Amino acid sequence: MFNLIRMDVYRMFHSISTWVILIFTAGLAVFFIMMTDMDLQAIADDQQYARQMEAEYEDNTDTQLGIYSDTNPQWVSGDIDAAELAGSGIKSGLLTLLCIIFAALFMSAEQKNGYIKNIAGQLPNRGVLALSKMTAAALQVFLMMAVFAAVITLSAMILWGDRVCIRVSADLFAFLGVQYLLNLGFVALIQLLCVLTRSSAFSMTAGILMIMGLTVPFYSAFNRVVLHFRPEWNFDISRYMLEQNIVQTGLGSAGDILARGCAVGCGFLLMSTLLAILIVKKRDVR
Amino acid sequence: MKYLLQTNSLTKQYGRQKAVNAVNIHIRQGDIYGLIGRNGAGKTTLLKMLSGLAAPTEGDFTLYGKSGKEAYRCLSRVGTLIERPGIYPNMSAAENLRVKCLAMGIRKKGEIEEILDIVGLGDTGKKKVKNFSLGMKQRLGIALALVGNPDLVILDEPINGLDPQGIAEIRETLSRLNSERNITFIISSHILEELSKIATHYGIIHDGVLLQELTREELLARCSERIELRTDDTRKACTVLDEIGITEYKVVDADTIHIFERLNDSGEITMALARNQVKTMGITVKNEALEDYYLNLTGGAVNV
Repeated sequence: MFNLIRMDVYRMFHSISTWVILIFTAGLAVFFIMMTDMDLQAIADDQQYARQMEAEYEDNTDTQLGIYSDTNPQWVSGDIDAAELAGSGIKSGLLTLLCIIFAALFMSAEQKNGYIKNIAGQLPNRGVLALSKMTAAALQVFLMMAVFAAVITLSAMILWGDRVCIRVSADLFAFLGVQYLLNLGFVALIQLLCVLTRSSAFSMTAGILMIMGLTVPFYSAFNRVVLHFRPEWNFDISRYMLEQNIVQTGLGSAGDILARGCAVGCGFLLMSTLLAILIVKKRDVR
Repeated sequence: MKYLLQTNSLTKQYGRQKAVNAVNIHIRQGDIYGLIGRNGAGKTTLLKMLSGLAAPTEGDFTLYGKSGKEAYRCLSRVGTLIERPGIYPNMSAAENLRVKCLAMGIRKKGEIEEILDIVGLGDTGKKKVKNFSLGMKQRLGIALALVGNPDLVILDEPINGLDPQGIAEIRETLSRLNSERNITFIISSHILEELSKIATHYGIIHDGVLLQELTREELLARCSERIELRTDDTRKACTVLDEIGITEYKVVDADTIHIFERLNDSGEITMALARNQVKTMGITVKNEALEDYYLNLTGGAVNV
């Protein structure tokens, strides 16, 4: 198992896509700062827009289609907390988008180029291939998060100078931990889709559509069915899905939201990885 | 006799179709076993099962004297190249080998360089595999199969798409590994003439069924030289042949007799037939090519 993790980490760092994704992560972080700056200028110029933004910032529980980030209207004149800024970027889903693309490319590479045939037969349990890839991907997701947060902080400092402050708190670590688990859960889900369908294109598209919120109509339909049979449950499936938890888990979120995010992330991570292991182990290598 | 690898009614079924049907092959240490069959005969499926990449529907195999789950544990000593070389195109040859070395837990210094030298890729340096020729990729595939000093190497169509020089180089490499390191090879191919230059044992597979297993000597004997005699009266011709002391012959059809002895005496045979008023329509010395033998066995020439 340890040997396979070493192999996958080596492969990951020798793969062009890993570095391209990291560069794009940094690029998206800069893009995010530029968009936030434009937003802050719009808030400063337009009072009506400022009020609208303030209302949205107070209540961000609505489901939205597409990728949105929250801009704190107080950043117009007050201090800008880099942690809050990075948190806003992470929960926007931008980082998850790149995690999905990375996962689809990395998880299916071995299958696509046939390298798996060189090693799968010689392993006593080839199911561990899914686990080793997940371990390597966990490292990459950590790096992507670190690069994203660092570039956001650095860009903000360059753009806004002394107004940027860094407040490190327990809330920040809790938020980052939960977001890390949720993003990892997404990566595990993409791995499962790659293993199941043997198609990186399908897995990537499905993941992107999920994070863009295009699964909302399906969730809505499912909720209506549940409501029809069990109206007393007040059930909303999106609360237990990765994309909604990523959007709703913010810096300073209530304990129950963090706990739910943690449970959903862990649940998807464990279930998807276990299923992927089982499929890789049982199914013939093509 | 103790075999290194032996299959016991190995079967693989996809839906209603049996891609491999109750195959029993027998391979000894040091053999170069040529698996012959046309495209779709079941060679790759059989080799995938022997490599642990596909699970048999029925039957099993005995490897190093172990069967069942124990045999699967021995697969770490089996190197494989199935269908086409599985390689990372953006890595160099050494990096591709390093990936496998890491997976196998091989930390021996110089292992990668040694393998690259064996297959003739020692001077490729940092050149990315995507810029390799087909032959170089094929050799890298063989190199990957050699990682970890396997006792048995399974190569599925290793000379596919290679030019004559590439084929000769690979043949020479495999022969050397077989003689110097006593590595047992299973090589599948539909290029029969090429396989005949290297294999010591043969298995002929057709429609998922193993038709015949034979040694190189047996095959050569069956494809041996003969006189092909065409005459207007085979019955009378047989009497004449008996009279002049020829016993090793076979009546193939109403006009043709194959004679397997006294191959230089065709003149004397013609004279004897003429003396007995048997007309000779034609007399030639022939030897059956491996391909003809295979075609006769499988009953067709499609895709061969």
